[in-house]
Formats: sequence, structure tokens, C-alpha cells
Amino acid sequence: MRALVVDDSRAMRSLLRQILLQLGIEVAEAAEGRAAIDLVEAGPVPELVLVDWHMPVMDGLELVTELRAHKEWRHMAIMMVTTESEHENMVRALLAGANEYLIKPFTADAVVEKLSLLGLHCATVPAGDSYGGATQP
Amino acid sequence: MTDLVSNETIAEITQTFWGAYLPDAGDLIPAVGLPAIEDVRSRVDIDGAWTGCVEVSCSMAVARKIASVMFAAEPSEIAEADVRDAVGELVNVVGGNIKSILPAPTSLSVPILDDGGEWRFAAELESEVLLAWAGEPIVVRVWRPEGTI
Amino acid sequence: MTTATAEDFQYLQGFLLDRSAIVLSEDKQYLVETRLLPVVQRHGVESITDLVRAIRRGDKTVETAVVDAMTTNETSWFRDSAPFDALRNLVLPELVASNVTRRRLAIWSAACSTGQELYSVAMLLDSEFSDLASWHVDLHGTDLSTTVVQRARAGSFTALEINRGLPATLLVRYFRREGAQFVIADSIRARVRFELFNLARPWPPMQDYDVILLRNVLIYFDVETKRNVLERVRGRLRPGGFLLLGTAETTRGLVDGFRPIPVGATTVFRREES
Repeated sequence: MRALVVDDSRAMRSLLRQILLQLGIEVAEAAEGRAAIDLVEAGPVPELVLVDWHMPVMDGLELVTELRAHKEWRHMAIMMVTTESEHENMVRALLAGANEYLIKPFTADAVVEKLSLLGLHCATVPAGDSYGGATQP
Repeated sequence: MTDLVSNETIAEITQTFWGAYLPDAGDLIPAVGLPAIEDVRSRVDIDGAWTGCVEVSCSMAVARKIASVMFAAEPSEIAEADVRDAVGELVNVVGGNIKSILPAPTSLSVPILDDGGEWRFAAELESEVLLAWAGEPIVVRVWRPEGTI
Repeated sequence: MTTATAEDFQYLQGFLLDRSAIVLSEDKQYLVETRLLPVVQRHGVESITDLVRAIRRGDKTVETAVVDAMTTNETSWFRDSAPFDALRNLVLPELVASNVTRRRLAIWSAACSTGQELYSVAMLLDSEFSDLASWHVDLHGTDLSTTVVQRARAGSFTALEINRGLPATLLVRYFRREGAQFVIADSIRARVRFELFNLARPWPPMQDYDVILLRNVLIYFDVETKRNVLERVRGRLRPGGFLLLGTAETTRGLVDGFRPIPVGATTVFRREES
């Protein structure tokens, strides 16, 4: 499996990358929404996108809206990973097309459980074994 | 401010960051009488139904330790820009969680790092919480624009 | 003095076995220290030895604090989702069909911790089994820790707790923000009840249940206690009722009268019609 981590903090991207790598998930990174779109367009398309909310250039909510405007990416699972936890904003993100929501700060266990809710049972997948072309357009 | 977010809540929120990301690195405890060492400073601005900012500062040693866990590298190997970035994420999490308790709606800025230039801003101190980690101080401050209550 | 002496450890082993049927193996010395040092600080005493002394004296406050601290309260909502898939896809549909004339359903979360499991069941019933709205549904949670039961009743959770396996759709539907806490909707809280209950002690007379959730509890018990608890659980389960255990747990080799049924990634244990 392949994931794209979108966060303007290198430290946060690094932390998420460590957690995902341990689960056998390949990780690409972008520092904001526009760069994330470019990466997805260039392919390969990730199965999972983790999205921070407050970022420069294109924020997380815009990114989710943009990703969901592409029908060919509809199988992509999107999870918000952000400190933003106002009720109204969480609803906005879900309505825009995010599938899950993780509030910062979080533990590694919480990430694993959220991926399980998304139907991504990755903990048992050996590293580097799961990245196939199935989701490529 | 103290009516909206108590010093205990600010401390709790900051401790939650340690509990989640630095669980093996020892507890963050309330500090009394520890001189504040503010080598690294970062803030996030909150704007809307409540306007002000949340600032976190700490010593370079603390900042390096936080960064070393987040970047999974030895403290000495981490570039200074990455150290500041890690403190930026700390203030983002602390500020973001404080924002969620304040009257809504508000918007949160990306972390603004003190890069050695002008850091003073026209603001009045609302709250100041001094915490200690392994004997080193961490300060969380909440500021409001001058003239607002 | 931050370490527990060999004597302290031995005493705590006996105390915890008696009070909560928890087996504290020799390699758990570190656990005693990490869990009890905050209790030492809170009670303003000097050491773990002082705590042990207070328990020997019969100090109930310290006893409770030590049991609370030593009991694992690690818990999440739809923890490892498989058991909830089993409830959704097999257990509840079966029970809705078989109880359709009685229009009653009783579910017991027998080691409910801070309530996430039972609240999850309540949210599942509310969102996906709306037929049950007119039934008499008893959702009962019990735990041996006073603090934990009080927290379960409050239904108020931190963001860290909310992050643990609660689907975002349920979060926005059933929780409201109160300061830093997320509080469960009154409509859900009104459907559950929480009580203090020690599985390892003699049980008071109680009703029968259609579903008993006893997840990740048996792992802390020795074989004798496991067997004893499972026998009593069987006695409180209606014929055809379901027992849900943790992933690593089973009735096999311990107690008769259960039929294991694999569902998705898990196994549920159905009480045979006797």
C-alpha cells in the first residue's frame, strides 16, 4: 500500500512516516495541498491520503474538495490529521469527502485503529509487498 | 481568558502532546521557580470570535530532544531549521487545541517561527504556564491584542 | 525511594490476586513502579512501601487507588472493529429475529472500563437497528474500578480517547464539545447504565443477558479463575445468546456449552440450547 502525507510540518510528516513505514506502507510527502495534487496527478495514485488542515498555499479542506472532484480517484481513502476539531469544521471535512478524522495529538495505536476503520488492514502486510498497480488510473 | 481556558487546561493540553508523541521521554511537570530559557520561540495566531495568539518557547536542548523523537535521529544530527519546525508543530498542536475550547468560529494560522528578527507584538499577556521536562523549562503563553479584554 | 522492594511486590501480588484476580507475574515489577509512583505522589507518601503499609492498615482510599492504577484501562471504541462487525452482521440480526415477540434485549459489557465499548454498542443500535427503538433494551456496563465506573457514567472523553477507533461519522453525530472534552449525546447516555462489579468475587443475583461482552479480561486471570468466570457467564447467558471475547481469548478447553462461530475476522461463542 502507498500513502501520501500532506502536512506543512516536516516533523509531523516524519512522525507519520515512521508509523506508516512500520505498518508496511510506502510513504510520499507533500507540504501543502497544491503539491499533493501534483504528486497524485504524476502517479502512482496512493490508496490513502493523510491531510493536515491548516497549511499554506492550499489548505486541507480545499485539497479534499479537489481530490474528490476527480472521479478516477474515488477509491482513495482520505483521513484528516489535524488539531482542527470544531464540530462544524469536522462536519465540513466529512461532507467534502474525507472518510476519517484524527485529532492531533494522536498515538500510533490510534492511527492503526483508524486505518482498520477505513478497511485498510495493513498491520500484517509485510513491508514493501503491497504496493501494486491496482489503483492506478 | 482565565474564564475561558484555565492554566490547568493549558498545562493538560501541553502534557497531552508529550503523552502522545514522546511517551518514553519522561513526564512534563509544572515548574515553579525555574528560570525560563527561551532559545526557540514559535506562535500561532487565532482570529475570529476570539482573537489572540498562543506562543510556546523552550531551550534549545528541549527543542532538540523533541525534534530528535519526531525525526527519529540523534539530537546532535538535526539541522536547526528542523528543530524549529518541530517546535512549530508543538505550538500548532497546543494552539489548535486551545482554539477548540475558545468561542467558535475562529481560524488558526500556520506556525510563525521566531527567526531572530522582530518578535515583539502589540499584545497583553493573558496566561503564562511554565512547565519542566527533564529539568528544562517550557513556557506556554496566551496573548491578546492590546486594549481587548 | 522509587523502587518496590521484593517484599512490597510479593504483598501486591497477593493483594491484586485477591481483590481483582489479576495475576502479576515476576517480570511485572516495572509495571508496579510506573503505575504506583503517581499514586505515591498523589497521596503525599514517600514510597511504594508506604502504600503497602497503608493497605495493610486497611486504608480503603489507598486500596482503591492502587487497584485503579494497576487495572489496565486501555480501551477504545470500535476496538479492532471485527467484534462490532460480528454484532452488526450476525449477532444482532439473529437476536432481533429470535426476540421479535418478546421485544426485549439485554447486553452486558462485563469489563466496561470507561464505557467506550457499551457506548459503541448503543450508537450501533441507534444508527443501524432503528427497529429496536420501541423495544426494551437494557445496556449494562460493569467494572471493578470505582473511578472508571464514574468516568463511564459521565460519558466525557478527551481528544486522545476520542481518537481511539471511533468512526468520524459517529463522532460528529453523537458527541458535543464541552471545553477540551467530547461529551456523548444525552439520548445515548440515557440508554446505558454503569455499575461497580467484581467478576472474580461472588456474584449477586442478576438477570439473564442476550449478549455478554467479556473482552481482554480473561488474559489477566489464571486458568482456575478463567474457568470459574466463564461458567458463571454461561449461567447468565440466555440459551442461544452470544459471548464475545477478546481476539486472543476462547472458551475452548475451559468450559462446555458454547459453540464457536467464526464471523469475519473473529469468532463469537454461542450458548447452546440446553
